[in-house]
Amino acid sequence: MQRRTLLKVGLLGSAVLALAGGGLALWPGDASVRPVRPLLSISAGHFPVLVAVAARVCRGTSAQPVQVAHAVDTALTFTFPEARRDMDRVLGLLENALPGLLLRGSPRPFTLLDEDAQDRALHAWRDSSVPLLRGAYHALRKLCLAAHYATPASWAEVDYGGPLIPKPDPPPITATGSLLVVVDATANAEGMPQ
Amino acid sequence: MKALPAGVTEAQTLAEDLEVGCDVVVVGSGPGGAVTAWRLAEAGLQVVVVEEGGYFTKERFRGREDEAYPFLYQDGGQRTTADLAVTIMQGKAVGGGSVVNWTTCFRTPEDVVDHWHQKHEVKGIDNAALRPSFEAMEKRLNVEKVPLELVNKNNRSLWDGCEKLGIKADTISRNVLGCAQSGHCGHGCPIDAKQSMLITCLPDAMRAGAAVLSRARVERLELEGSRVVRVVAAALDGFGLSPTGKKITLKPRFVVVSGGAINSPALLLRSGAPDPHDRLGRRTFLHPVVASVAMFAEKIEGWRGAPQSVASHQYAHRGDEVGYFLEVAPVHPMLGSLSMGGFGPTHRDNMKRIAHMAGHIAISIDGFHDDVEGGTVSVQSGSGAPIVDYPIAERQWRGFRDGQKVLAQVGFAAGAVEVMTGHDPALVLKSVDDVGKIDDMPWAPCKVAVFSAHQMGGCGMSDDAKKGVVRSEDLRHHQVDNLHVVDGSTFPTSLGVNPQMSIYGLSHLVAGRLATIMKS
Ligand SMILES: Cc1cc2nc3c(=O)[nH]c(=O)nc-3n(C[C@H](O)[C@H](O)[C@H](O)COP(=O)(O)OP(=O)(O)OC[C@H]3O[C@@H](n4cnc5c(N)ncnc54)[C@H](O)[C@@H]3O)c2cc1C
Ligand code: SF4
Repeated sequence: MQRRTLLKVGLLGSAVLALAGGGLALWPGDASVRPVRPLLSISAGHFPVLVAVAARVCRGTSAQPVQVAHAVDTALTFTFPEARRDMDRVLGLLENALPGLLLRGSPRPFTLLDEDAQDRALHAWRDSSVPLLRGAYHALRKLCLAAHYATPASWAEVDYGGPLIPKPDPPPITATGSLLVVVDATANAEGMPQ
Repeated sequence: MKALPAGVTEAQTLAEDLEVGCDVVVVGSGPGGAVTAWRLAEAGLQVVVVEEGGYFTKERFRGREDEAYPFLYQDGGQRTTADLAVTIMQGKAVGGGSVVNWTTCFRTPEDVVDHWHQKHEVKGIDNAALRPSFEAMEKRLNVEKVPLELVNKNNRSLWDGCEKLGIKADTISRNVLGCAQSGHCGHGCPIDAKQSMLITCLPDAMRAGAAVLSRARVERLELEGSRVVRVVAAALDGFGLSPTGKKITLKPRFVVVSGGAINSPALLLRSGAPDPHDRLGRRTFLHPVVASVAMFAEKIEGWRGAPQSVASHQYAHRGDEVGYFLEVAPVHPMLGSLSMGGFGPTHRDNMKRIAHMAGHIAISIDGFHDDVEGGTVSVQSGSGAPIVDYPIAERQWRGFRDGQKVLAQVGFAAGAVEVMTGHDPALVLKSVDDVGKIDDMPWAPCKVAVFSAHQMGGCGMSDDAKKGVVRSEDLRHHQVDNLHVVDGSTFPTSLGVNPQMSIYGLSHLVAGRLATIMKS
């Protein structure tokens, strides 16, 4: 039984998402920002859009937009294929000319807007009467915020001293290895060397 | 076909396909699955628990949000309703949600069990039968009331605000032993003080001979006639992201599905389980939460101390209006960042004050009004992942609004200098005189942040097959003879209290009955 996919909410939602299709990219955006490592979830063409969003969302923090975009791309691997595809489409929707014209009155791709106009474009989605666009705005916003504030890099900025009980780095997780950590016999109960 | 050895087998390490025979397969190792596995194994049954999450132990619980959410939560912490309006926090690990939950323990309110009896044809479970099971589980999990001296400032602000306003509040009970008040319950307890299933009932089950297969996702149950004949699972890689290609086939006499709300109905839907009355996945409840950020001049450091230690149920019963109860949420940088609207410098400036922030929450009680029927779970045609449609009734929005107003009043009564609603853009209140402005805010999907940490229902119990998926006495599927569902998905309504103890109690009671049935 299948009722609907993540972002195809109602007829209007389906129509709006369809606009994100690659064939409608009438006005190419700024493709100069390149990923620094292979992408796992989003398409290469949409990476600059995600970087541009990350730059607006995390503006004024120590976050590096390219790193935030990569962290979002990695975070999306933990969700299911349909959600990854839909988030990729959302980036297309933000960038492409025709939806830009219809949804915020400007055909200019998001990556070519100046910073104030980019904020206005995000706010247009936030304030939209189309629930799908409001949801997409929050999804992008939260993914970028989480990517920054989940990491130790943000802690000093927000006066957070970090975990109460620091622990040594466990061995990295691997595809086929056990998750169990062999504890050093000289360590105490909290895993700290004595 | 072989028998799995007692203890944990991590499916990502399997070098070949696996065929296993046993008495009982339990799908999922959270409160429902772990308690059931323990009781059945102690009764001498050969039990295999199959869990999609990884076998994470305290050495990997480092109190870091960037490690906890991707690995210990469903969808890496990104589960939401289909319209993206409700963020759904739900555990995924050996131990299920108990590994990451905030340790608040309440028995099921007796009037709720009575309501199930009267309205949902639940005749096989009652308060008298549940009582000894609650007692046994509270003893096993060392559930004790928090003394007021141990309440952190975040919770204390709720206590103080309620006290000033004459709102009845109390400290809660927690399932901990030797808690260091680290505040990291949501990240996995770094010192095994939390009495989660990982360190209590699952080891008990394994001592009694149970096998736990981690990183194995049950794709479907195969049915022939009115029986499940095979359980088909895929071994996942160590990250839990992709199948390794190793197939796992289990041939048990009985199957207990304990995947939790959302996941249990999704598994039954993927399996094509009979559903003649269209009940499967219906009445899925979320206890939706609205949050209020109270800023104090002094430091609160809501990241430290037991995450929850105070609650008020003053507004749980509101007649025609939807009731809610008041608690707090811990304030770590990431979780805190998501509770506030906006982006860029405005958001950054608020984050700089996060050490001064208390996170007060109103948890809405769904499922008790005819137009508050909860959501519906379905599955993606491609991946089979669950989809949660959760339409929010007008009456619920009114409840959110009223809850947000009470939280603002509590915040100011406790001494907050500013209170922010969960809207985007947020409404910033400077004094209690501003609280009326909350009425003018938009109450609609994705206009205000709504969260859920308590998922219930979707395989509701009722002795009337037209009303429920399982019958109440032994939580057996109405149409499938050797299939039982034992977890939070069987509740016919939400609870009005945090759910874990209700699941422990119900599972303890029902698993005792199942042991007799399955052994005969
Ligand atoms: C952040 C957070 C805080 C919370 N705080 C509290 C609290 O303080 N007090 C309280 O009472 N409750 C709290 N809860 C809720 C409580 O933890 C849950 O209600 C409880 O864990 C549900 O138990 P369950 O057995 O129904 O399912 P779960 O705990 O969800 O366990 C189900 C398990 O089954 C696995 N599974 C699902 N489908 C499959 C499949 N197909 N194959 C294999 N495995 C599968 C899942 O990975 C999961 O590990 C909190 C929850 C969260 C997320
Ligand atoms: S607050 Fe206590 S129970 Fe929770 S993680 Fe810290 S030590 Fe463990």
